[in-house]
Amino acid sequence: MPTRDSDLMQLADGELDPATAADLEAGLAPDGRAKLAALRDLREAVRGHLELRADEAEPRLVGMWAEIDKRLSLDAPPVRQPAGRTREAKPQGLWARFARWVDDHRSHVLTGVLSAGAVAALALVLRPQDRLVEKVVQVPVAVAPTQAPGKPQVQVVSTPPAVESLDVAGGTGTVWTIEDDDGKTAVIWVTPDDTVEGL
Amino acid sequence: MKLARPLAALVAAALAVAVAPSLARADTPISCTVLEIAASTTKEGGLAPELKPLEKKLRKPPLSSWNTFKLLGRQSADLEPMKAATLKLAQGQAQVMIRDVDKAEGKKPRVGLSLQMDDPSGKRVLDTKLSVDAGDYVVIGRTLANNDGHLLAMSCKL
Repeated sequence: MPTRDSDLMQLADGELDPATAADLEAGLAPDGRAKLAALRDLREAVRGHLELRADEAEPRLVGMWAEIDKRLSLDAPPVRQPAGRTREAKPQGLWARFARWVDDHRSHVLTGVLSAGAVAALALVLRPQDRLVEKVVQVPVAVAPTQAPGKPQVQVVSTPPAVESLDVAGGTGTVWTIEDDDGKTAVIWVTPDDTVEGL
Repeated sequence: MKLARPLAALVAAALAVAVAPSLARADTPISCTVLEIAASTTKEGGLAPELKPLEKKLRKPPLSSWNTFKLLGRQSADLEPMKAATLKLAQGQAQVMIRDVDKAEGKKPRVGLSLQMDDPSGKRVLDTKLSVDAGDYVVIGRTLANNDGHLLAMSCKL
């Protein structure tokens, strides 16, 4: 029975179990043996060529892998070290510790700040609008100027009353001027003839 | 140039507004008050509360001859210049006329008055022309037969 090429190829590649491979190789005809030898030569030639190319590409692959490692280390999340170890390694001030705490609890802090802002906004919006604030202010009493501002003060002069004419019938007329705080008052008095001596 | 005419009209309007009140003031009625007073001498004496503003004057000679003053009537009138007004009194009547108003700089406005007073029988008792400062009182009066007094106190304000 002639040996199939696929069996020969599996045999050449070492893909058959040892017992099958030994039986198949023992039963090969001369041309089968020639094919097997040719396949093994071809396989060696291909593998040698690939190994040679791999050796040539080795320096470039080493650089590429270094770049990949660097990129992977940058993208990876920072490794948190235990706080105790850090404090022991390098003592920090209060502000630095606070900043570190804020940095570690950034999401909590942001949530708190946003909540406080929302509450403040609500308090502003909902505050009573019609609130009335009464304030008592003491205002000094202003004395009104007696003349127009900017004009010099004008002294107003009073003039005594003047009687220009006086006619009295059946009596005597007398003119007095009474002066008091309110000004001057003209008094014109008529005394009938028959009562002159009475006054 | 386009603005000249409206500007002139504006200035004229402003002048009219400024001058109009002073022109109108010349014809503005003058408020005068006349108090008719009966003066007598009594044991108790007395002064009507309405006459309290005149008390200082009534306590001085010659009016201090009496110690009791009663208000017979009070009349207020807006008098126009050169327009006589007749006032009916409790005892007789009086004619009052504003002759002129003098507004000199630095002086109180001066009111020129014409006054006539008649007794209850219609006999003219007194006829006078005088001028007084606005707001000052003028008192005219006569002695009655029983030595009581009959007074008119008049004051005009601008």
